[in-house]
Amino acid sequence: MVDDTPETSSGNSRFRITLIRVIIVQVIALGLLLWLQMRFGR
Amino acid sequence: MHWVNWLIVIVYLFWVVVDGIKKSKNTDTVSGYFIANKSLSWWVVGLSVMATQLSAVTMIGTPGQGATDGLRFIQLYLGLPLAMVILGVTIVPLLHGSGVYTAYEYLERRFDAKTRALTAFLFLICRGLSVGTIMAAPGVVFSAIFGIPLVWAVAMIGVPTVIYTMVGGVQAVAWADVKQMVLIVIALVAIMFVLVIQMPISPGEALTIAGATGRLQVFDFSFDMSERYTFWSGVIGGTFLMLSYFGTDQSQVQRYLAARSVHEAKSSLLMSAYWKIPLQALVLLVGVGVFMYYQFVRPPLLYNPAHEAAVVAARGAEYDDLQKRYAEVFTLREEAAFAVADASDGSQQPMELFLAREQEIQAIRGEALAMVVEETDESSTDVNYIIPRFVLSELPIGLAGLFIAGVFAAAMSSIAAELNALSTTSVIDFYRRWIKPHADDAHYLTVSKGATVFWGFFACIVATYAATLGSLIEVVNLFGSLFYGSILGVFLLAMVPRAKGLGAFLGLIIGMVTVGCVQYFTTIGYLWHNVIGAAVVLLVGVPLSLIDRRNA
Repeated sequence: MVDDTPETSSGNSRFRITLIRVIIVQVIALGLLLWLQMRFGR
Repeated sequence: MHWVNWLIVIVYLFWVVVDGIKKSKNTDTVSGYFIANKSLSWWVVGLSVMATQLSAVTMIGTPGQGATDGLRFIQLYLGLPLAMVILGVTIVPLLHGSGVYTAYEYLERRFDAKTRALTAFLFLICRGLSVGTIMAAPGVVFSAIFGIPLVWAVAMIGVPTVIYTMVGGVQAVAWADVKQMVLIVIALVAIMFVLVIQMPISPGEALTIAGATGRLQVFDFSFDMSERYTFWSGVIGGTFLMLSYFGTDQSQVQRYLAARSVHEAKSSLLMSAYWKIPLQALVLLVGVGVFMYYQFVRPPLLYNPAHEAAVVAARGAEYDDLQKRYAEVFTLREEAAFAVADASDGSQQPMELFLAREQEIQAIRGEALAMVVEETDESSTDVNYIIPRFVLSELPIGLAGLFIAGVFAAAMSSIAAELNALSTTSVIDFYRRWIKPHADDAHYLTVSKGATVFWGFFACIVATYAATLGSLIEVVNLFGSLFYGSILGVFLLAMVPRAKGLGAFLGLIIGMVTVGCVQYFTTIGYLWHNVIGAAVVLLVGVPLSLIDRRNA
């Protein structure tokens, strides 16, 4: 089924929230890897 | 391989074919077969996108790379989350809302038929060869590990994949991907669990030793453009690579064209944005774990059993001597590893001794690999055999079968998506566009199924002759970088209002020639090629478009 509903402002706001969540998860993941490197790396 | 492991693999292959055929309802129209009537949920598309990108090369080659080179390969994916976000607000709404079946179909609407034809043709060449490479990876390894002819190993992977892809179209492919992704993650988590349980030292001590050998060096912040993987090449070059791959490659575009709505298509890409880096870290850490495991359990001197057999047959006595030296130095290195783990006074001496023994081991392996080159004329690298040998000799029965099934799953999910995309592009961008534009859906579906079989057969032929290709995952990415950046440039040019067909067409050609020259004449790392290709297309395409406007 094709959804022809135009993007609403609430849809954009939902996407912004998701974007922030993505950034947080990546910062945590990369932060853990950086900690691994600094703690155990040469 | 134990019969229980074989049973798991065969049951999995049978199940995926049967389930794929069951998903063939509602695929009797072009829209149903190619884009599932835009009915798929975001999580189905999301898992399918991830499974498509996670091939057997990732399951075999990447942990192997983790074992030999450590975690730095993860830098390749640093740009992926940013790329997913950019695509979510640019190309995804554009393509999903335009009613096209392929990304290249959109380019004719925006530019002209020749631009569409050229980009679609490049996709067919690039993907046609890469799907053969992706099939070759597990094929070559299974052939050597199980002692079966390469053509049989390739057929075990290719035949079931072609069947369910041909019968069920994108719906079968997507739903098979969902199950395959679950299997892959379970297999990876299980293998990591076994590694942690069976390690004779604590995880912290193991990480200390792995770190001393440089395997935990994740980030390289240098600005050396000739270095293949750095933070900057990953963030910048990797973003361009992922923009191109997920935004313009039909094998990925077709996934989110099948989503129910633009919002669900965006959400599906965000799944990769969330989980790709953690998943890739897990894959590489499995490799590091195997490296650590092999500090305490002696691995084979040569991981490729076919190579080992060839060297033994030709230079048995010499290889025996090398084996004896290897066993002696291995024991010394193992003692040194325990000494490092036991050291509580902060002394560096145990670590220095361990590193010295590690260098001796690498030197002995180098001698063995040199014998391989001399006796077989084949590439000496055996990084792709580390994990399969480990799995089959060290994992419990059942778990080994689960991992091998996971490798099959990874191979089939990628191959199915690519065969589906190759068939779609062949039919929509060439057959329907140029040869028979006014036939009914039934005719196009028949041709599509034939195209799937053709590309599957083509891939099997390429796979059979692709043989040893070094680190396979790097070969796939290197080859793609020749085209991906320039094709992305064309789609970026499409967003420039004044850009015209002439600019896109010539810009694409000049972009690819430029990247070819950079590859041939410079040592610039391949991730930067995507940036160069896209930039050249834009820099050339816009002025040429202005000329075109003046002549219009």
